[in-house]
Amino acid sequence: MPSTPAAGAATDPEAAPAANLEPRDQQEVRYTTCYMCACRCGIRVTLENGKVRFIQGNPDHPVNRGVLCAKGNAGIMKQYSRAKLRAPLRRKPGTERGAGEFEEISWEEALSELTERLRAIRGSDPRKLAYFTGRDQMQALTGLWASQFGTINWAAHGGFCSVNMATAGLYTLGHAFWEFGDPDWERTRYFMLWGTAEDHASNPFKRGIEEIKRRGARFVAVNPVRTGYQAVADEWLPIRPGTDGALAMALIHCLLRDGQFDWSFLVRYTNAPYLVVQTPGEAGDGLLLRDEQGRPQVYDLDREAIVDGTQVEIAPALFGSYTAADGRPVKTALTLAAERFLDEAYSPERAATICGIPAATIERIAAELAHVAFNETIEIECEWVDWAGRKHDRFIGRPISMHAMRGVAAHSNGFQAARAIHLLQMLLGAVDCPGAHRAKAPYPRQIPPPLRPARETAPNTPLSATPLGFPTGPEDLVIDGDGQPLRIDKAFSWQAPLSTHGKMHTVITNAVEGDPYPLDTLILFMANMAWNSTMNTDSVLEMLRAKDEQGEYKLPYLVVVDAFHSESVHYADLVLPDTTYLERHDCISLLDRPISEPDGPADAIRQPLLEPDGDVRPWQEVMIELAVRLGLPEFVNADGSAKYRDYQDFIVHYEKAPGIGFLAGWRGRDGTQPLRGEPNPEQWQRYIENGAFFKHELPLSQQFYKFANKDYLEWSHAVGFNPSAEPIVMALYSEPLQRFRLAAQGLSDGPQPPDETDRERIRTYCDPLPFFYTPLEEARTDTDAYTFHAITQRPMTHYHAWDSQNAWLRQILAQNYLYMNRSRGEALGFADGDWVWVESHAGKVRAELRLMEGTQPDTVWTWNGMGKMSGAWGLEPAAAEAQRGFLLNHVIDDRLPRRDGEKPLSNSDPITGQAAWYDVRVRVRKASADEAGSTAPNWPALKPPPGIDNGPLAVLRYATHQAVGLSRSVRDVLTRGRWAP
Amino acid sequence: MHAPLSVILFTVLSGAGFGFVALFVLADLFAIGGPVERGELLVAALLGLLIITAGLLLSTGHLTKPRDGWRALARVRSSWLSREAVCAGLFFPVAALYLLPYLMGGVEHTAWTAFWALLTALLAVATVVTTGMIYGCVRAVHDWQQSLTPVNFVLIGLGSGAVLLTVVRAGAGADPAPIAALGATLLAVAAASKAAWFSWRHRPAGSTPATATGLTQGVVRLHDSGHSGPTFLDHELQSDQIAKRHPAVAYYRWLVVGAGLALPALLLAAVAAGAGTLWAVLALALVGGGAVLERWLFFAEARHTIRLYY
Amino acid sequence: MKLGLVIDLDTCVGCHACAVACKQWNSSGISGPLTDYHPYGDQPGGVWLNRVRHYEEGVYPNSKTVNLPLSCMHCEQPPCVDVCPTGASYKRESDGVVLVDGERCIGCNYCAWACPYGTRELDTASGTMKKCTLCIDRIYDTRLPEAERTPACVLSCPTRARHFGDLDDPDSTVAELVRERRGYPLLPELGCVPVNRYLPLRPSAASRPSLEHEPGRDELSPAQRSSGPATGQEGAAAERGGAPARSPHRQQPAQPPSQWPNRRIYR
Ligand SMILES: Nc1nc2c(c(=O)[nH]1)N[C@H]1C(S)=C(S)[C@@H](COP(=O)(O)OP(=O)(O)OC[C@H]3O[C@@H](n4cnc5c(=O)[nH]c(N)nc54)[C@H](O)[C@@H]3O)O[C@H]1N2
Ligand SMILES: Nc1nc2c(c(=O)[nH]1)N[C@H]1C(S)=C(S)[C@@H](COP(=O)(O)OP(=O)(O)OC[C@H]3O[C@@H](n4cnc5c(=O)[nH]c(N)nc54)[C@H](O)[C@@H]3O)O[C@H]1N2
Ligand code: SF4
Ligand code: SF4
Ligand code: SF4
Ligand code: SF4
Ligand code: SF4
Ligand SMILES: [Mo]
Repeated sequence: MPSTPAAGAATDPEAAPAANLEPRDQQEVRYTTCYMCACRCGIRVTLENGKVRFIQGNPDHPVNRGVLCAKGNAGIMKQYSRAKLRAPLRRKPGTERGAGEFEEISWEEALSELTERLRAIRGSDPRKLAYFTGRDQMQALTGLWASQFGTINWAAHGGFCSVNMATAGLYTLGHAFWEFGDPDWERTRYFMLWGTAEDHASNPFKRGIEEIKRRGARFVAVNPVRTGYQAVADEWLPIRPGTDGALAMALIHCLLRDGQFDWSFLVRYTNAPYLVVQTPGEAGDGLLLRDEQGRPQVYDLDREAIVDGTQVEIAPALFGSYTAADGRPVKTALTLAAERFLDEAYSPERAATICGIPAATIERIAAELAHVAFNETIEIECEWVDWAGRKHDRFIGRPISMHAMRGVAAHSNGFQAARAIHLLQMLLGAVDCPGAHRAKAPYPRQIPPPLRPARETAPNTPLSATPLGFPTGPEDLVIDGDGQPLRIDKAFSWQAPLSTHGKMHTVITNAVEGDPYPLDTLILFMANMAWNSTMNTDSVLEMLRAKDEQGEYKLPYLVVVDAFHSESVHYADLVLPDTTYLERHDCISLLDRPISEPDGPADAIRQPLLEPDGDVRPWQEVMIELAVRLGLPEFVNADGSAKYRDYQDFIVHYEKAPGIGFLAGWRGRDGTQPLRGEPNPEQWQRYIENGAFFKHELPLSQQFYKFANKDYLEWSHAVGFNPSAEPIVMALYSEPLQRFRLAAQGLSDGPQPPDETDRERIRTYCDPLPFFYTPLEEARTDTDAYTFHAITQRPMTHYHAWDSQNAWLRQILAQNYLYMNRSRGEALGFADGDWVWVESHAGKVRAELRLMEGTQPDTVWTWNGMGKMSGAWGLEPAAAEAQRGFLLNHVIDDRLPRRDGEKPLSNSDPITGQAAWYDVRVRVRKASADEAGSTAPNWPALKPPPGIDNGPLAVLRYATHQAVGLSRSVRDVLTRGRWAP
Repeated sequence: MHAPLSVILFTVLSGAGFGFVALFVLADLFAIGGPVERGELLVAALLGLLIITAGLLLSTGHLTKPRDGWRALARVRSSWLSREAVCAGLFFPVAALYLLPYLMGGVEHTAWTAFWALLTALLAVATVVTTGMIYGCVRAVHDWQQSLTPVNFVLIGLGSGAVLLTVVRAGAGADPAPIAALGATLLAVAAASKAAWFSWRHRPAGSTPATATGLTQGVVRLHDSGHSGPTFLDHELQSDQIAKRHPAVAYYRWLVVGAGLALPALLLAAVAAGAGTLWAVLALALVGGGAVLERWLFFAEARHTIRLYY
Repeated sequence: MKLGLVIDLDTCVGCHACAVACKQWNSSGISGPLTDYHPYGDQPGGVWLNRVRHYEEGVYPNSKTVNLPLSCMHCEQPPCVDVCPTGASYKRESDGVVLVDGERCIGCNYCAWACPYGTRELDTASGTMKKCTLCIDRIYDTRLPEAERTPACVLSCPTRARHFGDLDDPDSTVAELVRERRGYPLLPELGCVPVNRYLPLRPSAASRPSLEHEPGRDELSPAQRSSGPATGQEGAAAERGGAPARSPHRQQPAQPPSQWPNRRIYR
């Protein structure tokens, strides 16, 4: 800690007045949770006469431990943004959607109009309501609401975000990258970061990177671009986009070839020794060999026989082919993996040609990984008990940590690439052990978590399960008897069997095309889907305006719930204005996206610190009110009256299962029970007293090997994280994928893909072992013509669409450029500042070019979400974001280039439905002189709705009080000497 | 750097005004080209003071609080700007004391009047020196950090003052030749000195992207300045961009040295050799234009170290 | 006392948190408000006391990206103070902090010209020069908890790349960092003698294994060499060096994995 000079304050005459510079008597300090982004740091807010004086990090908060990012520091300018919606808005009857003709209406009007509509939908076909939420982190509530309403058409942003990553993890490790785990910053010796610019754990990552660098651990960054985190990496591997799988599998190749893998880890904690049936062309091929009880089988080296693989006291063979009792040939899963990855196709030399990273480098990285894992092993002395009840006196750590995000996830081969990275972790024994990537509660969960997506809907009936879940085979798909998708987004269909977060990015297109069926109402909450979170933005805007022969909108009713004047708001029929994060009750729940740390679960609240300055309402309150109006069972008493006073009351009293509610802290009547216990009426108060968060620290003996740690498993069962205390066996080999594949091969009895396209895709991509394939869109693109990969990165100063309204942040970044490798650019005749067209097979956009060194030569990139529609977001129509900044989404198609005779296919990962934002290939050519200077496409400036001013503003001077200056005496002025010689 | 017209005109006018006054005082004291009559003196004094005052008033033009300009007197101990203000401030009462006997009718020089006369001349030159030093002491602008900077300010001030004085003397019926000769010499030296200044400007600057960042492992390039819109400093200090927008900037330098200084020197030499006063008037126009151009270049071409950060 | 900042370029990720924290604190600080011009217009601008620059060093693929936060260096020989004609700019004798007295400032901009680091910005609305105050209204505020008597930018920096303290005190963290990491000033040749120091990039991480000889093969630890059955407690011991004793591939390169020799490891 810095030595503070405060001691000098009293003695230093110059400093004496400093103590009185702040009107502390008019100030008040309160705690809440930041929501300038989804990292959800704890903040301490100093209020002064009802205005925000200062927002700082809460030093005690587990997420940020006192630090705050650029966005968090700019909260004031979000709170006082002039893009804030002021009142409910209705598109004026008789005006066109998108014309921006709105009228302010009362909440009563808005809610009765909406209730009527929703009641009708619910009474006929609840699926006609789709409710999709973007950057919110309160899916526990929205999901509950949707299932109570009875629609399966609910999803949150995961599908267009990083569901590849989440699903790969949950089907492989039982936890995942993204928000499901963290590198062990304190202990890791070697950190490999794949395709991550910011991630959700924004501040923890920055803190962590500093920590490992201070400790002298090695940090290797795999990324086509060197900015941000990659800037401080010890080694930068400028990979060609979409090829991480090839790199990971080449590393696996080296490790397997050299015998550098953690034999005991694989035997004990993974399904590597499980025997896999090898009967190509026959039912059951590729499934695990199981006994009558369904227990997987292994070959025991002691008994020299095939035995139940879940027992202790056996020595399972990791390699080998054997014959099952019924005569079927079997091989261990690891044998299959070795056969695959030792193939020339995964040699470093081959990978080098794919990834653009030299083979020698790949060999060296593999050797370094092995060296650190096996020669720099760390140990923590601590007694713990494994799942079989065996005591251990220490935790062994392989201090290799990996982390990956959208650089891997946002490609259509990202699921298998992420699986490959997880295999690499398993081979090194570096999963949830000291120094590795560690799961955060409620993870690890069973593989996959035992939740199946709801399929059946009926009028006026809640769903029997949640709309989202984790299929284990074709039987769990949400399809009809003909194999056609039942969900509007076609999630859990043959086109995306493991789309565990839904497929937001398809909803508008599907609804407008009536494929699989038209919608009545679409509610978008905290998602700007008319603009930056949609692909093919221009045609989406057209679709929102599209009408059928009767002159009715193809998407009849669009409700947008937002706090600001976004592009989507402009296309809404009904706009429900939300509060800001400083104005409402919120809860960051373990039932949702946890803010836990590897050493224990945590959750948090938001409390209103400021009065809203318009006729706005927290959406959560509105949801509860709608639920009551509609009579959704969980929200009303038998007599139809409201069960909960308001959202805060709901948070405290609602129980999902006995003793399990939205908040885990201070449960039980007397508040003494962490995680599980009766509702505690004082709970909310306890959170406030504790700085708005709750953290339960696990005993050290439960912090590692959680997948096989008896005490942890029993505890996690008891508090409801897992339905049993069974150990979690990691899936090197993924049997669910094989089940889909068998169906596609016609080798199973259950549902089968309805057509050749689906059949072919399932057969190819649902491979139970990772494999590398060229991203789908790229494979269908003429790469000689479209020579560049085009990707985006998160700017550290902006959150998606919503920070361009921020008067401070936009001073840092108001215009984005297209960045290109300098020598590549120069060779092509480009210079800094050129205006260029970026063209893909789907569209084109005009941008200003910048050359730089730190970009892989086949890649162009830009900051995500910068481009704006002129007139939106309270910005002057001439704002840089609208005139010179650009949105790459214009060139990203939501459909794959069509092949003859094929049905339209979403531009997504074929397994998880993850939007393939980063697959697009482009060509870049100079714009003509008269095109230079502005972006295209461009639209006429939006008309701001009532209450929003986007006219010129010359100066902004924010302060909570008149500054008290430090003045010098005349004497001092006259007598003080000069400093220079 | 930013080249505000007010600052350009201020330095040109006050330089010329002070130069004119200094030389005039000498002409008066030593009757160079003949004694100075009361009428001529009053006209000259009025002219000189007018030019100087106009210049000084312009100099407050770029202050945000011109009415607080007096505060600038406070830091003579360290600030050349303060020193300039003090010199200029002292100049007026001293000049008044010098002029007082004339206004009251007397024209005979005594030791007393000579003292005030010399002091007036001295303060005039000193003010121009301080103006030069305002810029000459800025370490952040390598181009300016030459001992020739204040020398140039003084030479150009005196030179242009001399041209004006030549015209005034001739107008008053005195012999313009000696002043013209002096002026020709001053301008010739100024031309040489400015030429030297221009070439010294190209001496390698010590500050580079490497010293600005401490990065020494390879070519260092600014990738992003971290702000999208312009800043105050962009406007104030980054305007070597201005010079870049004028492709003919290299010629302007020749123009300054040749047409702005050397040619008037020749013209004055001709006047000294007996050519008509009209040539002095032409010289005056040339030197005026030259000085403005010189000053514009002085600012517009100046490269501030912040370009390494912006 | 010589108060100043020490900034670690080896961990600065260029996130601008320090810049915005500075803006936020100082907006209502002793020189606030920090005016913003055309905040929602085409060319938004405003007064900032701290800005972050991004550089590239070297050439692809060996280029580095280096982020460089810049605020007033609180120079020991501050030209900005020397040139200020009004005495509005001054350096405090007690702690070396360079400040502007807004009452005295006439907005002549001379100090901004004189500062080689570009860290002074004129607020055209107030007509006064503004610069980093070293958060003088925090560091001496005894009503703040001890740990928070530090500049807003330091408090905020997510990578803890910013350190504040007394560089005169050889025992302070900052002095120690400068000593150990060879902290350096920017533009030393100009003789302003900045107090703020920058810590250079560290040489590549220490833990990079030396791989002159073939890795892991002839270098196995004793624990790794142990093989044979392991169970229960012993199993834990074996886990310590769980890498296989031999490379199957090396031993029988021609064999397919299905024939690789197995080790007896107990589940
Ligand atoms: N400041 C800020 N923070 C955010 C957000 C924000 O908008 N702003 N958004 C939040 C959200 S919703 C999300 S999903 C997360 C996303 O967090 P990140 O995953 O960190 O987000 P991206 O910027 O998409 O990062 C992708 C990175 O992968 C690189 N990349 C692209 N293609 C490839 C590839 O093929 N291989 C490899 N190895 N790298 C590649 C890009 O250069 C980029 O650095 O961030 C969250 N945090
Ligand atoms: N080209 C390209 N496109 C991408 C990505 C990419 O990397 N490249 N990333 C994708 C990813 S990972 C994601 S997650 C999506 C994100 O896309 P979105 O989920 O659409 O995120 P935002 O653009 O931030 O839009 C969120 C909306 O929430 C509103 N909002 C902010 N605060 C509040 C509040 O308190 N209450 C309410 N009701 N509304 C609020 C904002 O005004 C904004 O309109 O973008 C995707 N789009
Ligand atoms: S990372 Fe920044 S914006 Fe996100 S929650 Fe934390 S402080 Fe707020
Ligand atoms: S806050 Fe820290 S990491 Fe971020 S730019 Fe400033 S110094 Fe660098
Ligand atoms: S950095 Fe600039 S403003 Fe700060 S003390 Fe040094 S010269 Fe003055
Ligand atoms: S602008 Fe103000 S602080 Fe700067 S030199 Fe002028 S008077 Fe001094
Ligand atoms: S010390 Fe204070 S004023 Fe200076 S840069 Fe940091 S936050 Fe800004
Ligand atoms: Mo996302």
